[in-house]
Amino acid sequence: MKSWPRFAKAQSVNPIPVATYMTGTVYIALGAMMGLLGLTDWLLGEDALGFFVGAAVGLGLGLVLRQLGSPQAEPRRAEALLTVAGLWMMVPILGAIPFWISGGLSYLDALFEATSGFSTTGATILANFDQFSYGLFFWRGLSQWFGGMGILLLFIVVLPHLALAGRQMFFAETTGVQKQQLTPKLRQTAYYILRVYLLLTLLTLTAYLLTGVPVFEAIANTFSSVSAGGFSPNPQSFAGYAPLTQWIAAGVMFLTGVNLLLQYRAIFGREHSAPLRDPEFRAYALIVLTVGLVMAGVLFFHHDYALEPALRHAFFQTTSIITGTGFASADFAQWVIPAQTLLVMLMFVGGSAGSVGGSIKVIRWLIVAALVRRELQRALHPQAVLPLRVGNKNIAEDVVRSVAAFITLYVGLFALGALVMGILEEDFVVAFTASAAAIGNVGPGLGEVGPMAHYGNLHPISKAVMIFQMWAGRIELIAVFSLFTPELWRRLRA
Amino acid sequence: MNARAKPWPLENLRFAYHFLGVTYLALGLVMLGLEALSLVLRESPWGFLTGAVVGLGLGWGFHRLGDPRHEPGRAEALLSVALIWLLVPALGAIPFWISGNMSYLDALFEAMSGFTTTGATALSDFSQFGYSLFFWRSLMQWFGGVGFLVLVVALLAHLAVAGRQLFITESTGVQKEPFTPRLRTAAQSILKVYAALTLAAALCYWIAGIPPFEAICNALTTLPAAGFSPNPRSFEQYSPLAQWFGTLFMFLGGAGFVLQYKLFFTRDPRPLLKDVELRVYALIVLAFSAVLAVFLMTHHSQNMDYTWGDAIRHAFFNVTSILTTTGYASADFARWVPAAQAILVAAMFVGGCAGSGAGGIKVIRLLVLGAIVRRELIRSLHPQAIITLRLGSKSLGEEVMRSVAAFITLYVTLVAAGALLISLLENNFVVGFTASAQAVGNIRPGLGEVGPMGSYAGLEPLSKVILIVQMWAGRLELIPVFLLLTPELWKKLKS
Repeated sequence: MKSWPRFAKAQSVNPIPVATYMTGTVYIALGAMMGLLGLTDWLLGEDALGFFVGAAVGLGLGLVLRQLGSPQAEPRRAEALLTVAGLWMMVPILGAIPFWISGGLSYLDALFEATSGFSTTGATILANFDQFSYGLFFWRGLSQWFGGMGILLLFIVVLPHLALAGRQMFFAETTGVQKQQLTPKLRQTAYYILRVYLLLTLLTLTAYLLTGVPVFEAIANTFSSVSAGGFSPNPQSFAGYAPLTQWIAAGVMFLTGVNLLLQYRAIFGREHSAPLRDPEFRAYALIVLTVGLVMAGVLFFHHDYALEPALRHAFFQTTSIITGTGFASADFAQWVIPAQTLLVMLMFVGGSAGSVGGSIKVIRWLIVAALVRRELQRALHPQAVLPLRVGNKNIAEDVVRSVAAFITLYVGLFALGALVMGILEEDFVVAFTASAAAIGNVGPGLGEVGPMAHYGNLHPISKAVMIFQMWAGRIELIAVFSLFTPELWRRLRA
Repeated sequence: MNARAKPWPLENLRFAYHFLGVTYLALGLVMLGLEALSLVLRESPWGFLTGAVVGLGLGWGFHRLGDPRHEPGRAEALLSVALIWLLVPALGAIPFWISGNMSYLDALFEAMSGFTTTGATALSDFSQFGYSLFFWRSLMQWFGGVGFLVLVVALLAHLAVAGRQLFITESTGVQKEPFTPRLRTAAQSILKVYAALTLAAALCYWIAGIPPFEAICNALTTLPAAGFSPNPRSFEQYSPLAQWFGTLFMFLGGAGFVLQYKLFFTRDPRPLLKDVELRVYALIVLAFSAVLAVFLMTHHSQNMDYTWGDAIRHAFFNVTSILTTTGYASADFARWVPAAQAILVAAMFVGGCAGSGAGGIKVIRLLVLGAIVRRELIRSLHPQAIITLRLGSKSLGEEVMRSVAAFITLYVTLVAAGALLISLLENNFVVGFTASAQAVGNIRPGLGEVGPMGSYAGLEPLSKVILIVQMWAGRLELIPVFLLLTPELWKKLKS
């Protein structure tokens, strides 16, 4: 394509060519997608104006940005971080347009919903589910499906390639580089991820349909199940579905918290026992089992649940919250405090590394536990040189440091968000749980923002805080926080 | 194996026994003195008498088993520290139990709260205690402060536990003036400042109109950043001047005594002003108080209308109180709006300066954490960079960073675990969370039922046990108590 003279000049002075190019490309793709959806919606007789406007903006801006930028095989780290952080915010900004124009929401609310979608959070601003057409619900679910795919590609392919924050460590382990050489080529790895993700999508959809979920809801719920997102076109979330559906969903949600490469090895690589040998999987499974059983006990003794419903609701909620999905099979904002407290604590645990689960992630907790154990030993033997081990693998010191920094930033951002929202909302429970649910990409909180309620009544600044937290939490903070360091901008200008 | 060797509980813990014995003897003597006092005041002397007898008796027994010449290893030293902070309250609880009309669990809660300088009370009715028991309560806190400052600070620094080896050298400011780094001298100077400030506080409180007995008791609990008051409304009913004095002495109590010693005796304010921790500490007090004052003026709590003077005074008092982990209250902040309460809850997780009797995580550890995070952000852009962490003018070693990281993890975990369990038991998340946070930080008030004008008396027994353990662990900076759970410690003790 012939570049116009002024574009060529603009291109050469663009300090962030890759970021611009990538954003442009993604905008074009999204625009095309919205165009298609708009067409379908229009043929179905629904209000498709939002989609058409979104398509126009996406295609138009996308083309311009793409022209202004240029692809590079090896961008500088600073730019790579900026691209990642930028994309994850620019996409919802565009994706909010249909909600805004056709959904009857303010732009802030629409942005909240879109961010909640693409970050696979699942917190909703919708008070009245009649506001949204089928098309909008489909778009909402789709945004989560894409969000999940994007985050998997980011974590498993892009970031280890950049050797960012020791992440290559996590995946060297789970790709089992020692035992079976899963080829380290990026494209291959991406292919593996997509295979598992698509397989899970198909299986989940089939299972939902077979157990009686209405077709449209089954499709939308599948999108938000496999991405650990949590949006449902049904205002009762999963409470209205058959028990079997809820059990299946719990199983699906459990899988969404398992490392995708591990799943690949188990399913396609025929290493069926690989998950059982992985320390992170074992810890994750143990946590789900223990918390699920304790919660079932609380439900059985404190509420009027029979045994099977107690187990079902306990495990459903446990897998839902630990992976940050956020579906609800019951209004757990009405449960007794002990059960609610367990759920809030789960919001800080997270899924496994290399999964769509959010929050801090099990492997980081394992590393922290190993760190604490070692420090206790060094209180007795200060001169000892003790390596840090998780499972049978040594953890390098810089990985430990980045984990410590991550958890600090995470808790710090959570605390700050809780403080600000506590002041604005004058409700401690809402502030605390909303902050935790946003940064952990979980979805529902407790109290006024519980699973059968919505975030629509929050102060605009609270919504802005949550948008920031959903964004930062999804891409694991470092990319976002590095945007605030002068160092990054200095490097980009150089 | 030597047939004459005694089994390990006797053989290897000679230092621990000696130490414990001496402490119990000393306490026994103090309780004898208090028994005399209670006789003079015509209050029940039986508690003190029993305590004195048990203390002197057991003390003599332990002393006999022990050996003052025995040099303790690390394991034994850490065990001794942990045991002292458990067994002293066990003994000190006896007067509360027998003469104070409390169950032993409540008495132990009160005594542990005393010796760990927490200040949380299990009293439901302040008329349960006579003057002598209130005095004993406050005295326990003063001793607890001394004990912590001299023993734990020196010992933990010497053993390089929880990053403490940094703090002593940091606050002695080794660069400029060769203030002798020997720990014994440091301990003596700390004691001098501590005693002098206690006296000054008592005088100032009395001048500001606080009744003499309450002035003395409050002074005894201000400097160790402790918080017991014989007045059930804490500082609420005192004059504004008294509250400002309280703020001043609490601030000093949380600022670290070594620097203050240097100020008084060398008359050179520069080390004080250059100290990074002190500057950040003062800044936090200022910032939190300013924000809180604004909230108090703009949000009207139930029936509490403040003028600007009131708002500023209450803001500074309560922020300083919570930050230094003292725990006095000049107003019932359990009735403030959540916005205002949020500031105080945030302050619970900061703590005072390292060379003081304050609890919590401590400002300097948060500074170290901040340095760790800053370095990681830079390294995300520049992975090959080798960046030395610096705090002020001092560079931090890797071991200090790891210790601090592990400490903060343990701290938060202990708070979270306690919050979970107590919320379950009390069926109230706010109570569970704040009770747990204040216990590990040795602060005193939570919110709700356990607010500043409330009491812990109404909690479940198991909740009280959990809080006792948290107060114990929190005062000793977690590592000594957590070590008791590791097989390594016991193996080392047996060898």
